Formats: sequence, C-alpha cells, structure tokens
Amino acid sequence: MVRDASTLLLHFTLLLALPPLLLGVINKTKAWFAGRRGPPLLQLYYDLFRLFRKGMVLSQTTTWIFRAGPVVTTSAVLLAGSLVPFGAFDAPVQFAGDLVLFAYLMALGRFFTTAAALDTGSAFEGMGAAREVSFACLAEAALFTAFVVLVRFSGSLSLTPMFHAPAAGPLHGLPAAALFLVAVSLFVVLLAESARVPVDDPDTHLELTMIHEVMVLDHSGPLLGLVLYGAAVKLFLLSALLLHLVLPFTLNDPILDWMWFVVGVGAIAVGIGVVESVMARLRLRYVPSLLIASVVLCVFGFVLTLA
Amino acid sequence: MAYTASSFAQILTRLFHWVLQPRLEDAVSQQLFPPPRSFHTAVPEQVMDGVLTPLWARFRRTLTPLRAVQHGRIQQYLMYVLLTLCVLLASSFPLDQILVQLLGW
Repeated sequence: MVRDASTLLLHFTLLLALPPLLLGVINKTKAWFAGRRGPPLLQLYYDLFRLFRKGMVLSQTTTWIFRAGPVVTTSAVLLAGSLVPFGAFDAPVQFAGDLVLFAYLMALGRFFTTAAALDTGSAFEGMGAAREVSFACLAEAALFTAFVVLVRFSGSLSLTPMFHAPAAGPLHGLPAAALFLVAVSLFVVLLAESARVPVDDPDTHLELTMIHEVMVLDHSGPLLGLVLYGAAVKLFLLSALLLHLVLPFTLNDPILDWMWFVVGVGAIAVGIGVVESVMARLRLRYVPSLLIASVVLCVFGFVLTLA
Repeated sequence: MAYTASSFAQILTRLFHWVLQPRLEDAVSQQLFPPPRSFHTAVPEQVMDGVLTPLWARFRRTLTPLRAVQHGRIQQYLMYVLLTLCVLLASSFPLDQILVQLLGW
C-alpha cells in the first residue's frame, strides 16, 4: 500500500513537473546541433513563472470560450495523464476502453484550443484552427489504428496492459516488426500532435507555415502560460506512450525503473531534437501524405499481427 | 476578411475531393480590363443527395401500387382481417398428420 501511494505520488509529480524539461532538452539538442549554447534547460519553467505573474490582455471581441480554451485544454491533457502508464508502473486510472477516453480527452483539448482561436474572430487564427483540425483528423486516425494493433497484440482494451505487453516477453519475428511499425507511426503522431518539425515549426511566426502557434497568438500572460504548459504535457504523455514501444523492457527495481523512465523520455526528447535539427519543415500540402503514411504503417502492422 | 465555414473545411474537402466532389465556379476573365470576378464553391450532400434521396424515390416508386389496398373502406379492411385469419388457420392446420391418419400414407 505504501508503495502504491508512493507510485501514485511519483506519477503525478512527474506528470506535473517533468513536461517543461522535455522542451528544454529538445532546445538544447537543437542548439548543440547548430553549434550554439542555446537557452538553459529550465527555460520553459522560467517562462511559465514569468507568464503566470503577468497580467492579461483580452480582446473585446472574445467571450468566455477564449478564456476557457487554455484551461480546458490543460485540464484535459492532465486528466489524460492519469490514464497513461509511466515506465514499468501502472496508470493510476485504468479500465477497459480507457484508450478511447485518452484519445477523446486529447480531442477535447484540441477542440477548445481551436474554439478559442475561432472566438477571436481573426481570419489568421481561423486559418490555424482549420489546419489544426484537418491534420488532427488524420493524426487521430493514425493514433486509433496504432491502438488497434496494440489491442490485438495484448488482447486488452486498457492502455496499461496494452503498453506493458511488449515488455512482457522476448520480442522477435512478426510481432516485433508490427510493433516497430506502430512505434514509427506513433512517433509521427507525436510530432504532429505536439506541432513539431516536420509538421509544424514551433519557432517560426511566418504566416505560411504556422499551425499551432497561430492559434495562440492572441493569448497572453497566464493563459499563454497554460497553453505552453498544456502543449508540453501533451508531448510528455505521447513520449511516455512511445517509450513502451521503443525500449520495451523493465529493470525490476522501482527506483531504477523510475530513473529508466525519466532517462527514456529524455532520450525521446533528444530524438525529437535530432529530427528537428536534420529535417526541414514539410510543405503544408505534403503533411496529409505523411499522416496517411503513418496510418498505412499501422494497417501493415495490424496485418502482421494477424499472421 | 472573414474566415468562413467553407474555408475552414477547405483542406479536408480538397484532400477528399474524390468522394466529396466540391463544386467550384470561378469565372476568370482573360480580357485586358476584366469585369468583376465571381467565385462560388459548394460541397454537395453526397450521402443525402447521392444515395439516400434516390434510394428513397426508388423505394416509393416500387411500393406505390400497394397504396391501392389502403382506401378507407372498413368492410374491406374487415375482409383483410378475415383473409389473414384464414391463411393463418390454414398454415397451422395439421394437414399432413390428418392425411397420415386417414389414408395411412
């Protein structure tokens, strides 16, 4: 029981505290690739601290939807975080079918982000919202197809057994190939959902290329802080899911397993940083092709699990 | 400039144009002094107009002759009831067993 309580505590502590660090790791990796010193690892923590102390500027055309957007989005991804198993440990909340709740909590967050963007009445933010939902339609399909493969692989409809199944036994042959395809697909979903290169470039503020950034242009102060924090949590959760497929084994010691989890998630952040350093952003018209390709990869993975 | 519902969905309607079949009317003039240009786009209801409405029209056409049996005359409705009862009675009548007992078949 004591161990359960400490696991629960660690789960929520990591869920709340770790996400901003991942963005620091990504930025450090990018800086290292470019030969720069880069911002400090804890830069996003400083930014959040600064933003939460600031006041807000709200446009007169906005309604409560604009203010609810970041709050609902961050709450939704934090709730989704209670369904995700971290490393070798079970998720605090698990039941058959929680994968649907996970996907739809993500969708709820996205819905409110886009609703808040549309609420400003600006054509520019409407354009960003249109792009976000269009690509999300395809990314969601890829996420669900990946889940279907894992359901087939594990025989369970809950995220914890689904993502613990790869670590349960030695992997080889067709199941290993199927999981590899799912891992590649989930990585693409992670990049798309977190608005990273090659789908979106978080550093640019150029009209032609923006997707996520354009939707949050009108937010300021604490609301902008919530938006940044929510995006970091989303990235963290998808990295935690991907970690089960990339490094599917445990160390059979609680302390080592927690450390392994933190190092693993950090390694995925480094991977994202490497992708962002060596790749350019895709042209907008090719993004659907990338996402459809990740759906197709999962379908191939599903066919492999049938054999 | 307003961001309309049509422009909001444009990426998806373009991506799935093979099934959504968006209509586009874009009058481009090649004259030296072009007149005011008009642009109109609409996505037809593929399921409603393409499948359900024609299917329903066909269903109606096929079943229209059956309307003759519904005319409002009570006597004939009672006749339907009687006929139905006769048919049910006949179908439940153990004719084969009677034949077996009577004729020894």
